[in-house]
Amino acid sequence: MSALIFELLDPPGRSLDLAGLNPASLAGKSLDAIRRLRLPYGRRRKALGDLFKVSGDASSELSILGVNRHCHQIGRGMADGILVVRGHAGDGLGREMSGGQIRAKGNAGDGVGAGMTGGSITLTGSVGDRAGGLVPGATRGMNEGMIRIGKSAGARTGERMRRGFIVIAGDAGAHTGERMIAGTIVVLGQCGVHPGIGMRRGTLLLAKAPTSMTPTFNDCGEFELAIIAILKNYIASHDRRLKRRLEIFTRARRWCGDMSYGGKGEIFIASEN
Amino acid sequence: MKINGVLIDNTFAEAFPMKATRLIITAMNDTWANHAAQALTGFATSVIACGCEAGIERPLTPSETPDGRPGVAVLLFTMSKKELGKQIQNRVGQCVLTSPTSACFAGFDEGEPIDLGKQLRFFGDGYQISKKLGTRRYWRIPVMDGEFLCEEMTRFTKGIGGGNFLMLARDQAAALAASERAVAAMQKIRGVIMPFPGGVVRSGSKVGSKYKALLASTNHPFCPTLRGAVSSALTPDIGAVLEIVIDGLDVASIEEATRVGIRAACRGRGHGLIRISAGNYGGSLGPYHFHLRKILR
Repeated sequence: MSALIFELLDPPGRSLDLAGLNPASLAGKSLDAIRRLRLPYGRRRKALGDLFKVSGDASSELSILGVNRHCHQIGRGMADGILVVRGHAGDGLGREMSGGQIRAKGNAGDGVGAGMTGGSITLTGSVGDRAGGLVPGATRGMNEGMIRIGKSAGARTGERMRRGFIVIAGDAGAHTGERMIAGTIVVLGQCGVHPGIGMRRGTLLLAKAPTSMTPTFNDCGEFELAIIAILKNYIASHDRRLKRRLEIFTRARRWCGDMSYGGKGEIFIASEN
Repeated sequence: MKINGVLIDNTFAEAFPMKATRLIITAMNDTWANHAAQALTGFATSVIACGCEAGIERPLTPSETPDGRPGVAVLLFTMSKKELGKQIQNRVGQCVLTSPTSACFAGFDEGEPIDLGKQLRFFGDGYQISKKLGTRRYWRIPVMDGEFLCEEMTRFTKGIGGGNFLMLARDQAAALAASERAVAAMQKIRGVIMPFPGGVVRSGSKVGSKYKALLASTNHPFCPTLRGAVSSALTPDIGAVLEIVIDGLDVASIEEATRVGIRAACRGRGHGLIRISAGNYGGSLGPYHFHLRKILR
């Protein structure tokens, strides 16, 4: 069975909410029924068939091609299957997803994987602020699953994150891991100011010292710990291409904090070889 | 049936079901991984009085271990799940946690779960850190040389204990040399351990005793010094008997170890080995019967 393919006819000029479109929600529907689905477009609704060229069959895989920054909430609440995205997606990619995989070739806006409780999101490009963070009104951010970002991430990645894994192959913005409850964030590029501020537990693994270290973290010294090897192997098992870049984490300096919030969190910074 | 002049008795080894788990112990180098593994598997020759039977299955290269360091795979066998949990807790807690640079991981991906570091974490006195990666949870316990890393749970499966064969030789030296050849060859087989010292046991036992308190006592028909006093299983040319006990994860691995071990024991010239036999209880105790001639055919 081939994948179901939605190809945008014209780049939308206003906000297009794609929250309802995922492999599970479209399973069992005919192409005609899918074309008749009405999507929020600006202040109105528009038939899916008027916006997308629809082809293939409804299956466990859905491809949405040619998206732009007005295409929001792609894969929101997704629980199963594979969603392939091509183009620069808007905000809320994979928001509150609980399972399945999103494979995005391009960038994405704010709130990627916000409030997600399972599954994985892989992006080749950069993302905006608060990836793996909170959805409005929630007390916890990402609570399971994995987000892999091919380039850079904006500010407050993993805000109030409870569990899960975020890997940023490029740079990360300010306050990465802000108020983190638990989980792991890896930054292979440069990390912005004050990582882990307000952090209760969890781990930040940084390839370079941040632009400005959070003042409420204390230096514990330099170590070669088995858990670092476990984390490296875990990341490499998901993305073999990162294996060589992870070699930098042989020894790492451990900072514990945020001491204002119990000090059970930690930041590992790779030692200079 | 004869192999290189050694008579293979038409008999069988009788074995029984056990609970088995594999643990992976790693350390900064082979030496310290071995120290931890040796300590963990110490005093674990027989469930009769040790609580478990345990041994080193094989050394592991860094590419085979979860943390990329040298390691050792050990197998533990007990009669019950409860006892297995107790033995894991005590042995890992006292022998691996205490060993410099060590870490301990589950060696099975399938089977029923059982605690590994779940209780040991409390040694961290509140400073222990949990890290869940995928479906596996690890505990990091701060210790004086850094951290002891231990997986929260391991898994256990059905195992088999009590596979065995006896080497009946001209004298002690010949029996010991045959045993050493056998054990060296059997150590290459995966999924088995020989839990006695050096893999060899000289005090083979029979079920029961004239003393009511004892569950087992010396296997007197195979004791050469009693040949003139009891109904002996030994001919006059036999001066010493040694036994190799095999615990394994399945029938196939015990059969393979038995085959390889007996063939190695019988190898060479002037080896002084006269007969190969096996210990059983008439077939009434254990459901697994390893017939020597069938295995060696």
